[in-house]
Amino acid sequence: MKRSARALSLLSISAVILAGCWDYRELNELSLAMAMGVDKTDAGGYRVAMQVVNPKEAAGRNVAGSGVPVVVFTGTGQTMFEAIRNVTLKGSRRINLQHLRDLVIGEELARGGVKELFDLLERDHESRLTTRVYIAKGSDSEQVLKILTPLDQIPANAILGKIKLSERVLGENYEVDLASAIHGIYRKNGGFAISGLKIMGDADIGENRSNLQQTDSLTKITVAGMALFHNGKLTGWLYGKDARGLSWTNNKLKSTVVNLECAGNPGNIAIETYHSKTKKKARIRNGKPMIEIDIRQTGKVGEADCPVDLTKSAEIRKLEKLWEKVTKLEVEKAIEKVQHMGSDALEFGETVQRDEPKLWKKIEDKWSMIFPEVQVVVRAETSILRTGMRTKPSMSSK
Amino acid sequence: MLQLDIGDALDYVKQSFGGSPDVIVRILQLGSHPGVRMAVVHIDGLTDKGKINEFVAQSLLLAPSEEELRSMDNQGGVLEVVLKRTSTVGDAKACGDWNFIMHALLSGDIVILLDGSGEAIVADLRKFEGRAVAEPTTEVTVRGPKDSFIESIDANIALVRRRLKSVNLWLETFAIGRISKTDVAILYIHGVADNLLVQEVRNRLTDIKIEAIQGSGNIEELIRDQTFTPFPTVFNTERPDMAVANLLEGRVAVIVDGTPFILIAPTNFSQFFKTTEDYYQRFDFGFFMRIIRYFSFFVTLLLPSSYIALTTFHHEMIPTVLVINLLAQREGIPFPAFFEAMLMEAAFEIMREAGVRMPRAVGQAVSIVGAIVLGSAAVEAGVVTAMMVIIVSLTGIASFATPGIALSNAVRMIRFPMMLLASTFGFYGLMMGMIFLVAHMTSLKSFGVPYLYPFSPYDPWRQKDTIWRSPLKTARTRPDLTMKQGTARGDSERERHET
Repeated sequence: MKRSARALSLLSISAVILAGCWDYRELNELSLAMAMGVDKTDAGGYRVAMQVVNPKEAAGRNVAGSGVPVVVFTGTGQTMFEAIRNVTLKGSRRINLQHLRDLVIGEELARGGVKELFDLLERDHESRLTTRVYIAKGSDSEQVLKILTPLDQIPANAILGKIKLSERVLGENYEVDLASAIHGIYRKNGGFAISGLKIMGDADIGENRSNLQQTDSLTKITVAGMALFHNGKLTGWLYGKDARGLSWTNNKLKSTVVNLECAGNPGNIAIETYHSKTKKKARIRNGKPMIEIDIRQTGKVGEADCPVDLTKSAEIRKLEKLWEKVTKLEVEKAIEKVQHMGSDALEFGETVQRDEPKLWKKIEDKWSMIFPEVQVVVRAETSILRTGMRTKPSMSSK
Repeated sequence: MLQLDIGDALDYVKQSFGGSPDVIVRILQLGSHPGVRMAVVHIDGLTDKGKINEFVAQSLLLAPSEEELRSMDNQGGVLEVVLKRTSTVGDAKACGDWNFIMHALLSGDIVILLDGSGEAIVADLRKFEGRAVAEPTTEVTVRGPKDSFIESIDANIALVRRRLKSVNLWLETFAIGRISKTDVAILYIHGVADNLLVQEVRNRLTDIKIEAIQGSGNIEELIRDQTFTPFPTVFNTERPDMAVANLLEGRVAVIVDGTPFILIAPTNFSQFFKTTEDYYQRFDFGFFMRIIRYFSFFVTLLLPSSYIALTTFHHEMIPTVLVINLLAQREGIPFPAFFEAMLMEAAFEIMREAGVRMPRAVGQAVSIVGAIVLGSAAVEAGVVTAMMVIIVSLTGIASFATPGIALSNAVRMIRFPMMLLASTFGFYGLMMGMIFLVAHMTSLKSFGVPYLYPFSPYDPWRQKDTIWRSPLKTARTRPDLTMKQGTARGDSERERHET
């Protein structure tokens, strides 16, 4: 008894001392990748770019102007894995993907298909499924990663901030993380939408620190449109109001501004949406699927540039009706466009599968043909709850 | 029987003490013709000198009356007369056993040897030059009594008795130590403390075989259940109000002469997080303070090791902005995180030890050098990261927030193996360490009471005064130390007394 206890304690002590620390990595042996870009090479392989933090510059306490907060390393390979290993060679430290914020895919690669791309990111234990995915519109992803951004030291954070802001205040884009991207892209005959990033200005200038040394940066990154995918391939882009219609349909809209015309008067009334919820339902009509979309939203009057008496509830009801109409039209137009492009980014297929599984079994294989023809009914229900800090528009006081 | 001849008896005393000059002998004569020779023996410094003079003048030097002279002629009459006279000063008795007489002499009694009697009279005129009752130094409260135990066992017992005017406060004394014969007393409330428990304490005290007791810490080490554990299984306090509160909960107090810290048994883990202040402040604030203490216990135990685990294994668990900040701090730091932490923790422990041991006059120098050198200079020199200094200082401060110093000492030690585990296995190792620790603590017992009670074994009805401190109105039952039915607070003691 005593002997076995002694042996056990000896074993446990040696377990501590003798164990190699296989996962042990000091912080200063790492380089933290904040964003990763993937492009196609001419040879048919991948070129991976990593935006890596330069900690001394990025930590924020340093005197500005001495260096750059991030460094971009690139590497090529026949597979993603090989390419990433080759990236590591360019730097002196092991690249760590645990804090990866953004994954940017070049448009050319996206048009050719991205299905093969995600296996590694799902398989690797370091990468996270919460990483956001973007498409670099009209450029290589590598160029996007190289642009330095003002205010946010690390461009990867700036990109994330922009997409979040856009989702929250305008609704023309929404965040898509790796998990939902993978889910959408591997769906048979399915479609998918990913936000786009666009370089405004000269990409080469954006790489320099000088880009930050003026009030209006010469080169900027903006979020621009939503890229639509069909069967893992990019088929087209949606912009502005159409992109907002997509957000509405997919229940991604959080807050936005809708301008309403003032009946009989010049000027507009801006409505701020507080809260919006969309429900999609599939029904069968004449043996064919039909989609019903119900939008419920509440908001307030954000701006009134024409004489309208907001103290009267009848006026408010009128505005609500108008808002309903505008919403409905916008969504219908967006749906029509998406159907025309043939990408089921509206998740109609999933809706049918969920609500009418038997029908789905029959039409699953022909969904690409059926989708553009699907009949859609949009209903909107709106209510204006507040009129802001004043009731009468300043115009009407004259 | 003593030597009949007083000269022989005195020679024996002197011989026994090796002629030590602090053994004072005065030779007196009672009555004139022929009279009886007497010797008053005491040890200088242990007895009240003024009282001796008064006593000798008033009771021994007076000429015997007719009646006394008559009885002095009888067999043993002298002893009777002197004993009668001596009784005026208080506790006096006749004794014919040298062992007892020597012990009395050493305890500060005076001994009166009578020529031709064969017995001596032992009278209590003890006075020990001791400290006055002062403010507690280790268990300070903002609001509450400001007295604390002192070195004298009699004064300490009196401090408790003053607060518990009950005949059921029972006291038993022992002399422990083959040479030192230290007075040790156990105090308990009869009818509240479990008889078996009192018997167990008694047994453990009488089983002690040692030469001398220097402090209550010796006794603690000799009576505790397990020797090889960092956790204290006997509680100690220098506050009389804490002692009283514990007696009322059915515990037994062990008071050791010469130490202002009394022992209390049994104890459990949660007791080290309580202070009497919890009950002097509002109950909700008492609860708040306890939460802070438990929290700081875990900070002391786990903060440095968690930091090591996070920065060397689990980078993904640190928020991105913080990890960039830490990356920047670690640029150019020559040591691995584990070594860095060890370095700083060791520096802190050295400062702390130095702070306790050094003479008070040089105290300031150490704190200044410690704060400047180890705080800012180490960071500026790029030897350690600023974050590590924050972690180590927070750990250090948190270790002071545990009221039971004995427990906080245990945690201070345990955090080092925890750091080693964290640096080899990350959080996996930390979890292994915690599991081992909890398993060990569950196996501990203090005088038969499980150490983690009432957390483990979990008792939902005994949670009123553990982390949560209930209002006093709802504290109707005593904590059940033997895990049988708890006795009611309130009238039970009186009822027991009256029946």
